[in-house]
This record gives sequence, C-alpha cells and structure tokens, in this order.
Amino acid sequence: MTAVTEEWGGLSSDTGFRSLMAETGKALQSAIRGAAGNQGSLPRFRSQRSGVSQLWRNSVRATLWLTQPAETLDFGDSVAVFDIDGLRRTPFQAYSARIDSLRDYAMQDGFNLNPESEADFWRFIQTVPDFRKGNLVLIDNGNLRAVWKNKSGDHMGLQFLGGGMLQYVIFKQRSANIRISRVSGRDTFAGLMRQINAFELESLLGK
Amino acid sequence: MKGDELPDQDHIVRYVKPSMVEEDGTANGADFRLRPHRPDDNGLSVNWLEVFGSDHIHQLGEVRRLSRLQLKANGRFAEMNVGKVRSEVAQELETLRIVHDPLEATAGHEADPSHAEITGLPPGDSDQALLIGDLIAECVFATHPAIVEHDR
Repeated sequence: MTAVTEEWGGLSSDTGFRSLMAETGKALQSAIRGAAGNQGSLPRFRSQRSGVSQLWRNSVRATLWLTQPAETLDFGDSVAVFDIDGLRRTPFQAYSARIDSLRDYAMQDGFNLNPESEADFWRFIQTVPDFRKGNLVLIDNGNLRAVWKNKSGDHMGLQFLGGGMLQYVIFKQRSANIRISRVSGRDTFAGLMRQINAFELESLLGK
Repeated sequence: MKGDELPDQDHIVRYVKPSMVEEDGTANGADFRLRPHRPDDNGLSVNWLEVFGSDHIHQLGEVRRLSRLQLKANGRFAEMNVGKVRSEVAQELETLRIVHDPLEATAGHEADPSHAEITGLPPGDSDQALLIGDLIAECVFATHPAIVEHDR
C-alpha cells in the first residue's frame, strides 16, 4: 500500500482549519488522478482510506493510502496559505475546486467530464508549474479548456483532447501597428511548448 | 424579416451556460461555435435586442421571458455589437452572417421575434471553429445574469 502525504499550513481560525481540511483532501485526490494520467493510464485505483489531521497549530497533513502505487506530483513551493480573511488558494487548489464545480454543471446538463481530458489537464499543469492560473471551462464534449488572456490582446486557449493531445488557439499582438497573429491547431505537449516559444507567450503565461 | 442581415449598429445577446462561463464572468469562445454533436445546426442562436425597442432593461427582460432554453442561475447573456462581430471575424472568415430568424409560436411557447442566427461558421469540431469562437468572444462587451429575481 502506498501512502501519499502532503502538508500545508498555516491557518488562522477554526473555520479556516475546516476549509483547509476539505480543500486539502480534494486537492490530494485530484493530484493522484493527475498522477495516474501521467503513467499513461486512466485512474484505476481507489483510496483505501484517507485522513487529514492538524499537525500543530497552523499546519495540516493530508494522507491518502492507496491500494495501488501512484506517482506523486511535485508542486514545488505550492503551499496553501491561510490569511486572516480565509484561504488563499494555490493555483492547483483553485483548479481542483473549479473542476469539481464544472463536474457538477456537467451532471446537471446530462454529460460527464471526460476523465482522459482531466488526466491530461493535470499532467499539463504538472509540466508547467510556473504558469499563472488560467480560466477553466468545460466544453459540451466533456473536455476541459483552459484560457489565458492579457490586456495586450494576447490569448492562448487549450482544449485537452486526451491521449496527450491539445487543441490550441493562439492570438499574439506583436506590436500595436501590426495585425494580430492568430493560429489554431492540434499538437502534443512538447509541440505546444515550441509554439509558446515561437509566439513569445512567456509573459502571458506568467513564466 | 426572416433572413435579413441585422444592422451593424444593433446588438445581440447569446445565452452562455454555466460550464462555459469563465471564472472571471466572461464567456468562453468555445460557446460560439456550432455543436459538433448537432451537425444539422446551420447557425448559432442569438437574440436581437433592438427588436424590443430601446430600453435595455426591457430588451433583456423580453429575451429572458421568451427564451426556450432552460436558463440557469449561473448562466449569463453575453452582449455584442453586430458590426463589431462582423468586422472582427471578417479578418479571418468571409462567410459569417448575422441574420434575423424569428421563431413562430408553438404549443407552449410564444413567438420570439428576437431570435437570430450567426451563420457561415466553420464545422464545430474544426480547429478554425475555436479560433473564430474566441474571436467572437472577444467582441463581448457585457454579460448579464440569465435569471434575475424579479423575473421569476
């Protein structure tokens, strides 16, 4: 049995602690779903049991014991911080909460989130931990789509098709006097990275 | 009249369901494309506001009242200027038209004189469809709640 453990802190109130407990549990489970995608297969394992505990006054430990091994994700310095006003989410936690909402919307509309798309999304996020958080929506084919925009008119939209493929839309305003460049297509993660470099989208993505 | 092009200075709204509304409240471009699973669709449904006069609150109220869609509390109506959509999209696609398509009364539904369609769009599952959808989404200058309490 594999144990996956994350620790986050600090918090400022009992209410904050309860919220952090819930957020941490969800985030951890999403991380494991993403890790399963990273191994080239759909999530198959189930958690044997999970626990979230308060380590000391301002730190939380979340542990999920798995019936099958899973590769854990390294989110670098992705540490959730509680301020006096409540939880300041990491992008990872915010994505996790957003996907939960989108999953609910999909069920209300009679379709399901495509697990291959979700696995690809988490795998992509893992490969680009320094990207700022994008806006996430759910297309009616069940695929996730993330969009990054800025006030200069730059724009990148990514639909996670599953199977390691992305459908991208890129708008790039190279200068005020030049017509905006617009391209769309499908590519692998590695191919997309080459497009990002070619279109000089580093500032859009917060790298 | 059915099939007429809408005037450039007028405005249209499109209902955007909650899963297509971005976290900052804007409409995602994926909503402005033909549905791949509905290949018989020729156009994207929108509502022409000025058909209900010049009072903006009244216009939106009538669109909500006559809508045949199942509006959701977290859904939004995305508002665009007709001429802006035409000119922006024309940079990438020459076939786009925004035409009046009033709906006749049916059992259970009043006639909806505001219904219009954006036609000439690429197939919904094509890469170009998302590019054009994102371009249309950039023309949205305001979004409005799909449901307001006093309309209930």
